[in-house]
This record gives sequence, C-alpha cells and structure tokens, in this order.
Amino acid sequence: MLLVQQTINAVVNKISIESHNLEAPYYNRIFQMDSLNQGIRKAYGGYFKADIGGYVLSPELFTGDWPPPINGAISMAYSAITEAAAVTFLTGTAHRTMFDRESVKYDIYGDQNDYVVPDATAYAPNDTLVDVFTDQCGVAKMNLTLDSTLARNPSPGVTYTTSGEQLAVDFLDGIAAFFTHMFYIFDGTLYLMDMAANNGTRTLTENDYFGPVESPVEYFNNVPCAIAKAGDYSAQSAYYYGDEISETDYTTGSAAGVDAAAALALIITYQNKDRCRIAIPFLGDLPAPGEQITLVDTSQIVSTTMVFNARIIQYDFDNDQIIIEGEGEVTAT
Amino acid sequence: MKVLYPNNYITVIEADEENASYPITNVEDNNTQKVWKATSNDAVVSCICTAGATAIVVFNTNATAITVVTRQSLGLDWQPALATFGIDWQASLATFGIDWVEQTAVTTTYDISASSIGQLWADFTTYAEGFVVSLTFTAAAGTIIEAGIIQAGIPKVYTDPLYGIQEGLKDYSILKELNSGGFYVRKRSVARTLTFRLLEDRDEDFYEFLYDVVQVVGPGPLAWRVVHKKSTDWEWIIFALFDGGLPAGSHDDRIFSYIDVNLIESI
Repeated sequence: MLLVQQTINAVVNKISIESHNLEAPYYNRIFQMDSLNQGIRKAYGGYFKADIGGYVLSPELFTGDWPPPINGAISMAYSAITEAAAVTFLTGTAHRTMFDRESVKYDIYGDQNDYVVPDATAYAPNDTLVDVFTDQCGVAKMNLTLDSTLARNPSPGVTYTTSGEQLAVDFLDGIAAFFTHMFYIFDGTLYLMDMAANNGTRTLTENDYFGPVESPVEYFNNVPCAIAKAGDYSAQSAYYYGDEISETDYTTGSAAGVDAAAALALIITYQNKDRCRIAIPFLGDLPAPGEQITLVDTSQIVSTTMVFNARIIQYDFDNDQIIIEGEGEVTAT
Repeated sequence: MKVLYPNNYITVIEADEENASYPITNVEDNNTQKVWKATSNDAVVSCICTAGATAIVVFNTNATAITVVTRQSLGLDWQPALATFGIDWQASLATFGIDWVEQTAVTTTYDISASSIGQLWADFTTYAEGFVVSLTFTAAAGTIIEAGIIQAGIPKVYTDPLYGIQEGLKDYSILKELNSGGFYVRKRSVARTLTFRLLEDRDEDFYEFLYDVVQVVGPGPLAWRVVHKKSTDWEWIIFALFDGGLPAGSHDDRIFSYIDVNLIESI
C-alpha cells in the first residue's frame, strides 16, 4: 500500500489512495496519481533518478488550510503490512499546479543535490572512478555517504579535468555512464554499482507477473550501436548499420587510449543487449535498482528464459502494478 | 422504510477509551473508514442528545453486541431560574433535604453478531429535555472495538418498498490476469447496492421525502432502514448515498405516487 505524508502548513497529513487504518490512519485523499518513474537515461549507466509527475488530491484535505498552500514537504513509502514496515522510496516537495472546486493538483519534485563542481576540477593521474565519487560525496561537496560495495574492482582509472561549472550529479551521471556504472541516492547515501553487479536477485514464476492480456511481457532491443566514440578513440560493433554513440572521454591522456577503448567496448555491449519489460503486482519487496531478475515465460511459442537487471522501475499505483525494464539475455528455456 | 433525517441530534460524544490516533470524534465524519478505535474489546460511548431524538445508528463496527441505555442525567436537579438558583430544597417536613431526581434508564441489548456487516439501528422513546444515550460495545476477547459512524436523530418513516427490491454488490477489487493464466486478485472495498420502488401518498410522504429529505441532503449519505415493518434483519440497514442521480417519482395515481430509489453503500 502506498503511504504518503504531505506537510500542509507545518502539519504532517497521512494520506493514500485508499484508507488504511494502521498504527495511524492514512485517509483516502488521493484521487489520482501519476506513475513514479525511476531509472537511468542511458542503456549503459548513469544516475538512477526519480521522475514523477504529480497527484490529484481531495479538496477535503485543505478545509482548514484554504487555499491549498503553494508547496510542502512530501515523502512516499510502500508497505505490504504495517506502517512500521514501510520503506520510503521518495522524499521531496509537492508544488501546487492548480485547484478547482473538485480537486487540488500538485506536481512532485524529488530531493535535489545542488552542489556545483567548479571549473577545472582535475582528476589524475592515479585517481579511479571510486576516488571521483568519494571526492564528490565529501562533506563540503555533496555531503553524502558513498557505498561502493558493488562498484567494479579494480575501479577504472580516471584522467579528466572539468570544463565549466556543472551540477555534481550531472557530472557523476556522465562519468558513471562512460564507465558503465550506475548510481542512486537514497536516505543520504550514494550507492555506486557496476552495471555487471547484481543488487540482489529474484526469480519470478508465471504467477508473479502480469500478461498477456493486462501487460504482456515485451522483449525488445535498442537501435544497435555501430560505433562508440570518445575524444580521439572509438570502438566498433558487429552491427555496422546501427547508430553512433558519442561520449566524453574521461581517460584523456591514458596510455594509447587503452582505457578509453575498454570503456567504449563495454558501452557497446550494454547498448546492444536484449531488453525486457514486465509488470508485476505490488507483492513482497519492491524491486531494487540493478536487481537481477530471472523469469521463465511459457506463453511464447517456445518457452523463454530472460535474465535481466532492473534499470527502469515504474510504480503505477493507479493500476496496481510495477513495471520493470532492463537489459540482459533472452534464451530458449 | 425509515431514513434517519435529521441526524444531527448528538451534541457531545465521548468514549471511555480511545486510541489517540483514532479519536471518538471520527464517528461524526461521514467517512465510514474514518473510525474510532477503543483500546479493548469493551468500550462505552456516551452521546448527549437534544430532546426529540428517537433513534441512534452505528455503522462499520466490529462489535458483536451493543447495549443501548437511554436516560436523562442522573443526580442533583439544579435549578436554572434565578428564583431557585442552587439545589432544589424541599419545603415540607416530610421531604426536607436535597431533592434527588432519579431518572429511569431504559436498557436494550442488541445482538448484531448474526450479520457480519457491523451496524446497528436502535429506536427508543425520547425525552422532553436533553438526554444521554450510552452505547456499550462488546466483542470477542482480543478484538479492539472500532466504529465508523454514530448518528442520532428522528427517522422519517415511510411504507416499506414494493416487492422486487434488487440487492447487489459493487466491487472495487483489482483482478488482473497473470502470465500463467491465473489471476492476481487484490480485494478492496465491496459496496452494497439496493434498488427499490416506494408507493407513498403524494400530499404528505411523497413530497416530504422528495423535498424535505432528498432535496435538502442531495446525494447523501444517510442512514437507511430499507425494510422495517416486515423484517427487522440487520441486512436492511445501510449507510448509503443515492447512486446514479437523485430519486425521481411519477404520479400514476390520483392520490399515491411512486418513487424509484437507487442506493449505494458509502464506504
């Protein structure tokens, strides 16, 4: 069940789509809710970022606070059983967009880390990707705890000097994608993980996911990458008819472009992997970013097995389903 | 058929026990899911009612029995007029002393365990002045008593609906097909529905129902006892609003008129 806490004029209001009489009551004041999307923008890595539209609330929630305040702190959690067991998956701000006599609509914005990386910040010659993240997570910078347990070991070397100011999360988004890593921020900790790492595993039986009428399982592929370029270096794939990917080179000056070539080869690998999208009910634990999922699908003409990692997770509360997308390998069972 | 309107005769409501997150004032809300929770399996709710109320209703409770006690305030009879401010002393030798005014309490216990719907409609004789209705809720050991709605007022009474009442359920559950061909089911609220026709005399009941109740209240919700003469089953009691628009009537007779009513349970 979705458990939302929205602060209205310094008072925390507990609301949900349905009424839940838990340790404290959560009243059914949410009329409609957009899907909450979390994911990485590129198929090969980057910042696993939350992106949510908004929600429509009952005017009844604001009878003592009319007109509805322009904004307020918000947190969203999910629990299958009790309030104490709820897991918070989003904190941020709700900003009013409109209200009428039937509804009040707020857009929702996740928490933003606004640290800006200064111009000409240099990493070289013996810095690694983990070193860069460690530096940017420092108290005087992003002020986050870094968890690099699932990062590649040894961590790839970085030789790079920033040009111009940019948000640290944007800088880290680019460098993580270049080295086929992804990261997400939760509750004051930045989790950095190799795209090859599994952030937990689960196996789905055919009783655990929807289809084919409701949300058929989709197996698909990106437009293939023919060539990946970074600075003076490039790597080619077998799919010469595909598109080009162009990335910033974060290994500038390393020996003969060996590090760049290795990074670009991995980018091509992840861009060209098989992809899968499934929908599951809100049962058990929520899927984790990068979690490896194995499923067998006998609804195909030949029984099919897909092993993939969750890279995009969409919480569709209105339709009571979680849509998971990621890359991996599809085979005949 | 009875419909509880007016239904605002409770002026003060108190409970002898309540969970701080679920205060007794929650039952004054029209949302049946906004419940009062006690802290044990027996609790007493006291309602101070305005004179005239002749019925009290309870909805969405998990109690298996409710004892309804009506009484005027027991104790000393304080005089309100200036001439007799204070305690009412008796003048004659035979009764010198304080004048105790002891009211007779009327107690009725309702067993509502036969129906799992969890609701009560209790009629009683009213008093000339403000009075108290005490509701003692009881349930099996280990149960925490709760209730969603408590209202008191004066029911408007009509003839029972004609034969042919339609009764059903509206399901808000989620049912989706899984890849195995089986189904994922998440049970959500299921609302009761009732559709029936009344035949009332036009000049009094028809117009009273249409203009003194429906037009004033709008869609509702209200407490209904759809059948009260031919059956006293708890199942005929419902806290409902008008479904698909307000009731409409037709004047097919010189004196009597039909009214078609569609109700859906407020959940």
